[in-house]
Amino acid sequence: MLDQVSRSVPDRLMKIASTLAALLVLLVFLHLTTGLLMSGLERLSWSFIRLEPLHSGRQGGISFVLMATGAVLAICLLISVPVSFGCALWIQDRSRSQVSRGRKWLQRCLDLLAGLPSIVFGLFGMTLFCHQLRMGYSILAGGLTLACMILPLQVRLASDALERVPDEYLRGAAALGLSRVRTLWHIVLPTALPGLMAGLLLSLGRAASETAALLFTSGYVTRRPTSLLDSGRTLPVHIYDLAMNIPGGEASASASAVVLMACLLVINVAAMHLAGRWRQTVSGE
Amino acid sequence: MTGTAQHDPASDRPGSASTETITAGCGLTTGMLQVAHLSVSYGQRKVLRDVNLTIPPRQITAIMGSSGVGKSTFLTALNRLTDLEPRCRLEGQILLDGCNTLDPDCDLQALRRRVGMVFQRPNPFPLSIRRNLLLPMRDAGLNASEAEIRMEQVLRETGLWTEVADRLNQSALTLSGGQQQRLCLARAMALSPEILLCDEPCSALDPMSSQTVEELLTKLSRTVTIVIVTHNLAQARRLADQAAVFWLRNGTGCIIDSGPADRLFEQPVNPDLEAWFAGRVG
Repeated sequence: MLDQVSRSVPDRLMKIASTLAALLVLLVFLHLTTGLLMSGLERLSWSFIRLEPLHSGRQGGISFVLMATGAVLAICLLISVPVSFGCALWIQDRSRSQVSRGRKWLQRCLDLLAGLPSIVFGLFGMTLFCHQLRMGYSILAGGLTLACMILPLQVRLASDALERVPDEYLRGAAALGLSRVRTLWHIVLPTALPGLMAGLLLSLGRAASETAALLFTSGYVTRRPTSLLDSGRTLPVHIYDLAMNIPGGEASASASAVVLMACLLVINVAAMHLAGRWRQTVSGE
Repeated sequence: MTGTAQHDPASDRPGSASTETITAGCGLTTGMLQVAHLSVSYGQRKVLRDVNLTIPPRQITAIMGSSGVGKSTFLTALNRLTDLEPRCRLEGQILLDGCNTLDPDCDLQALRRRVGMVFQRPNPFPLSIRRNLLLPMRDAGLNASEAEIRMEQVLRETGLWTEVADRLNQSALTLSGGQQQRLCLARAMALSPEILLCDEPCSALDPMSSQTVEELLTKLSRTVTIVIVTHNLAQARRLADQAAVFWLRNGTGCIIDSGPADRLFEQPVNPDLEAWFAGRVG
């Protein structure tokens, strides 16, 4: 009976369509990465990573750009991770324990914010951080703007991950009189960890590839940043500038894109490895 | 529980100095529960009305009745797990050794350590077997070595020690259903509660595992007050010293008969109950 069903025409069509879709995604990915690698590897070398940018980035390397990128992302995560996790916990707490109108409104606002174009966040960051809070065009202002930008996405994904923690674990913990902190650390976090990590890495990817919001807030000078209140150019801004404004900058732009992809890959692998190790320690397995 | 020379297991309880007193002025620990005029509502809907029941210490009290009459709600009211339900409201009194657990000042953590619970479906945490048992004990204030000793003790009591001694660091989720339920029993017993609430603990188990759990409950009832919700009349007959039957009256659950199990099964005073025991109503 099952065989007959699986051989029906709509089933076959669905199977073919889904296979084609999967192949299409794979082809796009392969085309993108091979194209980038072919044009970028020629320029890529250890000195490209180590040297400072020269002649608007056409020559030299990207060391100062990497420093600025790291600093902007660190500020962004330092602010957004605890705030988004706290907010997600509040939402989950409300949704499990009571019917809360505040939670629904907050979720609607977050969904709306998550859909806003990044350039709007750039304008917001420039007005608030650069001008009103007098941070100027700085790494700090850029990091804070990015934090605001990825916060709605992070809260949404963290909230979804926490929602998937089975009620039976929470009821079991409550029935044992376990404290909220211990329940959170030993039961909720390890259970929600895959979802939390996926959310963190997705939002990190969005922050690391952001250009528009940073053009308005952290600036695009290629000099070495000396403090968090100094202006700095991040990798996506560097790639954009080389590709659009600098004649002969295409090779450096491709090489920088390869570095950006490699950085994201390394962060992904390292984060998943660390999360796995932490989960193993907490679960005692 | 009348002789003064009788050993009181409460004296072995972990973290006794800080956690036993659930509200000020309640120091005696016998494991006696008295439910007086208990009503439970979810929003506007009343699910239990005017429930009165005395649960004697160190006996097995079976809570019976058809589906949807509020048996599990009653059970979760005893350790205030109903507080986790949105818009749930409790009225009346539940006296644990004379102390009202529905008092707003009641320390819920201390209450739930004194009134343990085992659920219908085994719910071990996604941690190692060892960590499942140590976690509540460490949280209750036992030091590492005390907790390790107690862990072995409860695993032996539940007959799990020989089965898991060599794989304590493996995930508890790798155990069979019956083993998981016994682990949950061991986890609840690790805190040496005076009362153990069991919400149909055998309903998700095969007959062999059910038998093991039943034998375990009978053994535990020597030292712990056990309140068990069951659909299984044969199981209630086998296990219970006392019994109470819940019934729907005007859409709300209430007790229609309670008392010693032998009397209840042999001479049911209520015609509805007699018909139910005879299988004439569901």
